[in-house]
Amino acid sequence: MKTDFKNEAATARRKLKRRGLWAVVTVWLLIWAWRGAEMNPLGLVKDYKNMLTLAGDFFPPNFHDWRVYMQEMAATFQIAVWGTLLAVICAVPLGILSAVNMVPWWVHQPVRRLMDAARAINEMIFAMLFVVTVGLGPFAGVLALWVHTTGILAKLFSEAVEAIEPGPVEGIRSTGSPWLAEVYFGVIPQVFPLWTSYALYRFESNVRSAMVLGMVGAGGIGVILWELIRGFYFQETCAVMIIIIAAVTFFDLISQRLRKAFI
Amino acid sequence: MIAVKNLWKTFGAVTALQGVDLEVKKGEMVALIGASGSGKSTLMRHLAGLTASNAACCSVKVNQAEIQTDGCLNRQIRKLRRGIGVIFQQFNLVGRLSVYHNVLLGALGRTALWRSLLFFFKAEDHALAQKALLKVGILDKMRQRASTLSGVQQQRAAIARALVQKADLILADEPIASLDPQSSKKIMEILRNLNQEEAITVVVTLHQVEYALNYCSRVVALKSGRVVYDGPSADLNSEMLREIYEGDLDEAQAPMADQKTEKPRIWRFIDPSIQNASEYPDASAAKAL
Repeated sequence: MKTDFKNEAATARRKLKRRGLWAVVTVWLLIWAWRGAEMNPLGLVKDYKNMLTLAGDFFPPNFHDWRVYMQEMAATFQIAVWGTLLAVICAVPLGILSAVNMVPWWVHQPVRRLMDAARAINEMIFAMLFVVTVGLGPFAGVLALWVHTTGILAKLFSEAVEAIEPGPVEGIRSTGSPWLAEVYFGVIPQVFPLWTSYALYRFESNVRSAMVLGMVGAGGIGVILWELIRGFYFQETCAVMIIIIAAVTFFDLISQRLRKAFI
Repeated sequence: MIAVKNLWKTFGAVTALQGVDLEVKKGEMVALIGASGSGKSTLMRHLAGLTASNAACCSVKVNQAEIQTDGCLNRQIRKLRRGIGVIFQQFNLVGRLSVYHNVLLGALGRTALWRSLLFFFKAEDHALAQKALLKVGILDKMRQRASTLSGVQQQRAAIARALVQKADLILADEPIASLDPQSSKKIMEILRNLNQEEAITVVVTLHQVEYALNYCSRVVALKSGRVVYDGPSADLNSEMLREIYEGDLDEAQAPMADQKTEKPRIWRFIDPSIQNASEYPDASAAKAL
């Protein structure tokens, strides 16, 4: 076989041209987004005195009402626990039902579209809707997290299922096992470490989401934060933020531990 | 035991099986040989009911039950698979479960779903699992995770699973292809034992001919999806083997593998247009057979 050097050179030139085109498109996109977002880095410098005053207002933090803050922080955690747990329970079957290698297309396509819908709409919007239906309070937050997280976890779970080794499943199948036992023994053990890891990660982010949910009246520390910022109680805001940071760090450490234990 | 009639299978443009007919009687130990891509694994998967043919007028019967007819698996296929133990080249155990659990899973077919999901198998199945582990010689490894075992031990566990299944037919698809010669012998001996002592019918596909000759009384040879030889292994001569393995030099070496001849690996990298045997001693060795 003879290598055609002329051809090689032509291909290289074509590739270079294509790359150049992509570079132009990327730069144009960045400029376009810059204008749209009204990016104003000079504002940071020009108004630095404002910033300093605001930052100064935050200190020292005022922990006078710390009992209330801790109570609400606990509520936030409770919302996240139930929202995530219900989502995991639903995402296990839905994840398997949206995996290409588990079910025929007329099952996984509809299930996937349904999960897309649950994922596409932000939990804040779900929270606003549920506040209307079940009233103000943490339960609306749980429902919102449940629906949104189910959509996310079902997708992640199904991707793990699609990456399994078919061998063990076939081994189980050849024993004449029913379909459910085949999934239970052939699929679940293979995806279990990854599923646990995804579920724990979602729990962490749900703790963070639950903090914001309060702003639309769905319970948790968000309500307090919202009220404090709106009333310019910056020292109290600072105290709440410190509590939030401590809590998030704490949950991150715990879920890291758990993840290691399961893998 | 097995009755295959006019079995065809195509994968896209490739025809893997071209009208295979095969009869195996109860208690036989049959070796299925052939070059890579001759269709022996495909045939096995059809026997096990793991793949359906895609042609009309095909029929695969095992134990008088139609595994598949005219390209459709039997509606009761999950029940029918209980009677057929399958051993795979890659063992196909569940790596994260213990050896003992893996072996117990052989009882899945006859266990109520709630029992299997709770790992609450019947006492007789537990006894059977321990007996099977003893039989294949890995009782001491039963608490280990399957993935921590060596290849030959995993294959033993897979055989034990088929025993717990109480299958009276074992289909072993390349059971020794990923094992070393010493381990291969052990596995083949276990299979022969099962055949002789437990009267289990065994069909085994083999890559290396000498195992077929040593362990199986009957050999069925496939070539390009057709049965080209079916008879006692003693009647196979090297002329026939060369015919069977034509165009697959690596395989043709197999009858001599016992003497540990070095395979002419370099052969694959030689450009076919410059095949000059005198310049490449390895190549001439391969041609000689």
